[in-house]
Amino acid sequence: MARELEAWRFGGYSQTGLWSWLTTTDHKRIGILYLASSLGFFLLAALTAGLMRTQTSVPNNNVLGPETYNQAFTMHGTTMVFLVGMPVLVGFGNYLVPLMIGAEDMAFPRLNAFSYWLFLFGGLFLWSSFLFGVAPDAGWFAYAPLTSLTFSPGLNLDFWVLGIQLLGISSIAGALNFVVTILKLRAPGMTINRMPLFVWGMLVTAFIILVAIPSLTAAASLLMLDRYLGTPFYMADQGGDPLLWQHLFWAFGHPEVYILVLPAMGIISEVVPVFSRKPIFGYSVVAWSSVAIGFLGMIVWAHHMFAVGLPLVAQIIFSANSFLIAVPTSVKIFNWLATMWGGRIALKTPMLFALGFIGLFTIGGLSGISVATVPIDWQVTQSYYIVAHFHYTLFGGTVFGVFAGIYFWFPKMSGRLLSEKLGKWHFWLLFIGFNTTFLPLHIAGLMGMPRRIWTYAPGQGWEIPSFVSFVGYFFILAAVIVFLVNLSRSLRNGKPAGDDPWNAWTLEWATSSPPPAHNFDSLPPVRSRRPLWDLKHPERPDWRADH
Amino acid sequence: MRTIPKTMSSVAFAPLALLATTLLSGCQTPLSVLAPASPTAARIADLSWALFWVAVAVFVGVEATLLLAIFRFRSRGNGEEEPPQVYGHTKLEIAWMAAPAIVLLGVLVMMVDTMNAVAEPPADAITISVVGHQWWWEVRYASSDATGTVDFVTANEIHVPVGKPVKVLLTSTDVVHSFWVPELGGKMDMVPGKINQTWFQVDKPGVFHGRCSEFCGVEHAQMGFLVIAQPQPEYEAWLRNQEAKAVIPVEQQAKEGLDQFLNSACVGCHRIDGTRAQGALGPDLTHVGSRSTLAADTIQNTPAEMARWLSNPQAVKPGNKMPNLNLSPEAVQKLTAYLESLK
Repeated sequence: MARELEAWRFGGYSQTGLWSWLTTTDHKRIGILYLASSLGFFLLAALTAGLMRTQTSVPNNNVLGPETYNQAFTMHGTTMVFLVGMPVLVGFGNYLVPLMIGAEDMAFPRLNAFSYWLFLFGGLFLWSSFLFGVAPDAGWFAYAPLTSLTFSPGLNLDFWVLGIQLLGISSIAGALNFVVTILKLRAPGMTINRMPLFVWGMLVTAFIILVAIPSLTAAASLLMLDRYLGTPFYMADQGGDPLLWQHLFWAFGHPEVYILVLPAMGIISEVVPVFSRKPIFGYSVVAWSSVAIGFLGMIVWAHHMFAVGLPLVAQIIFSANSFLIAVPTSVKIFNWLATMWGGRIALKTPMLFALGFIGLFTIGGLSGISVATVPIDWQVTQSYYIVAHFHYTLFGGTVFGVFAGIYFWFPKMSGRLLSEKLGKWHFWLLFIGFNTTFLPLHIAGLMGMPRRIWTYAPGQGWEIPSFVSFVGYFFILAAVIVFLVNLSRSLRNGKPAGDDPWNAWTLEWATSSPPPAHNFDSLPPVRSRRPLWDLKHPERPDWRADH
Repeated sequence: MRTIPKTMSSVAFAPLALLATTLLSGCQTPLSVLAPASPTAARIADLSWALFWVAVAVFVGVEATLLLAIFRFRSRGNGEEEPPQVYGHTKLEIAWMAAPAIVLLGVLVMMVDTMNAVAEPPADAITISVVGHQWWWEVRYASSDATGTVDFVTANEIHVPVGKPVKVLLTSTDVVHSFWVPELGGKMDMVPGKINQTWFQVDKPGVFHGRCSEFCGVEHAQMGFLVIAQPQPEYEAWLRNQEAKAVIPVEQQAKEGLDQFLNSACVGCHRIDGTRAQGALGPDLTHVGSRSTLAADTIQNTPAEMARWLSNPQAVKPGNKMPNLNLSPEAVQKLTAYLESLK
């Protein structure tokens, strides 16, 4: 049946060559397209980061002027959020969700292809603005009324708004696809409560996208109306309110943080058990803490606005809600530690990155408590302290999680293992580089250094942290180069992986590497959360354990 | 191969050492939030330190457990049995759900306490209004009490009396800016169409640096200001001086400078009280010679720097709203003499 369906689906189309990639509706190929494209955008974002760190490496520097610097940080943020963070996780989701739930493809394969191509087009459109010298320059959160035609008369913001709209539509279509796929296409026996935790992460993320992204696209539409039809939504002098933008933007912007973190946490929840040789400790609690984070993440947006003059009671409520998120987040960290405890920990590269995630995300979480504390936020918001904080969550967290995922699933996708030796170099260079770059920025912020400044005078205590951060950048760059070398070498000459190189337990390891277009020739029975453990240990299967 | 990660992991601690040294030396830098000079900033710094130690405790606990787990449960080669399969422990999980909730409840209580202490200015505070502009600060003094009436406008420099609470009303004429003097307390945004307030009280004379801390366009980086705290008599003398109209210069070059000023584009944007220059787009220059910096704390106010600024403002602060007027060196010299005479 599966074979016939495949023949029907690919009838008349080739299955190799460029054209097959351009026309594919196979979730695995679309997943790989997402991953590859986000890697490309990651390199561009790394370039803009290098420009910023170079310009701020010493006081009174003049490598970039203010216009270029402002474009660099705007495009860095916009790219990392919309063109790297989201698509790389969606790429994993695309590749893995159908495999993990024992499905043959996503629910709407052509819609899936549409999401990908719209994302790619939106990203290229945004970056094409550099060709015309009008890259967006109002920061990734583009506060009104700086973005109005009066204060930003160029096409810069038009590129930003239109690019964001395209990416928003792409995300919404993709999220719908994930929700339907996960709810409707699970294999027999794969109940919601047996789904891998990565799938839980993607399900919650998809719901967050459906709720949060429309707020952004609506806000951006109003901005376009303000700019070209003279409406005054954000114009105070005509009866509008600049804070409307901030509310609409952060009602998207904070849930976005969890869009970027929950699937990465899902990756960690897959990697840590396999390399500790134990099931995840407290599956239900870890799964439901994703749901809790997703829900709470939608009612904390105004903690980005503690300095705009909201009523104090409102600030306290948003602060308390933000504290609440720390509970399910801590629970995840404790449960990962408990998973490791009593295990047989193998420090393979995917596990190193997962451990890096746990260690670094803890720091980002703790500094997150400090910025959720209203009076402390009054001091450090919009300073380099914030830059340091969110890089510990989104780089120390998401990016490390993504690398864990790449080392873990690359063998499945390519049939070859990545080099462990280069992988360890990659990890340690990145770990050192990351901390060298971002730890000192906490200090710069506490010394009063505002973020987004293209230049600064000496003697304010900002030189040392800025210069150390600049040095750290090159370690990160070296790590990325090692990774690229590893990727290209291993693709050609990597050790053959076999179906199940890590002796893992979820369904994607039950098929060949790479899997056939229809995913599974035959699906093992799903009677617990670890169907492959049950196969390998018929004497003590999970479904007989009391839990 | 094991040696590579080992050496590198010791390198990984270098940033920590650096962090410690910078933090210790950093408390004395001019914009440090850890060197409070106002009771508001001091309360926030206290809260920050309290939370810092809580965070250190949690950090050490989590990272030590992580490292301990790695070392204690590290797999020693191949062929080992699978460890006992443990699926969870409900009571433990409830315990570590409750623990952070209790700690955070404590933090919340400390936070509300601090907010109560710093939110409202005392009733006897004097009031100053600051209006944000791209990329400078308009400072307005307007009050009347038993001792008389004050009403004048200045720029980029806020003088306050020592030991008195000062309430600052904040708004903006263009985009969102943010008023931040780290040593005197938290920041407050300046939002067009909205009047926010903040307050501080400086307990000893000194100069404190403030910066715009909300991205506000091309020259966000060079939008600074000074808060100068003076003993009451000095402060009052300053008020009296600022209130006065600009003096008409007597010295020849300065006199020519005044003519130059009044007959050039300067008057379109700047005001000098007592002359017909009544522009309202740029900073009020009535007493510009008395200020210690120019271009919103971008350069020092010396004749040489003033001349450099007038010769081409775009070279000093690229992107700012003052165009290059292509003044001749003689014109620059005259204008400098005049403007510096406006004490």
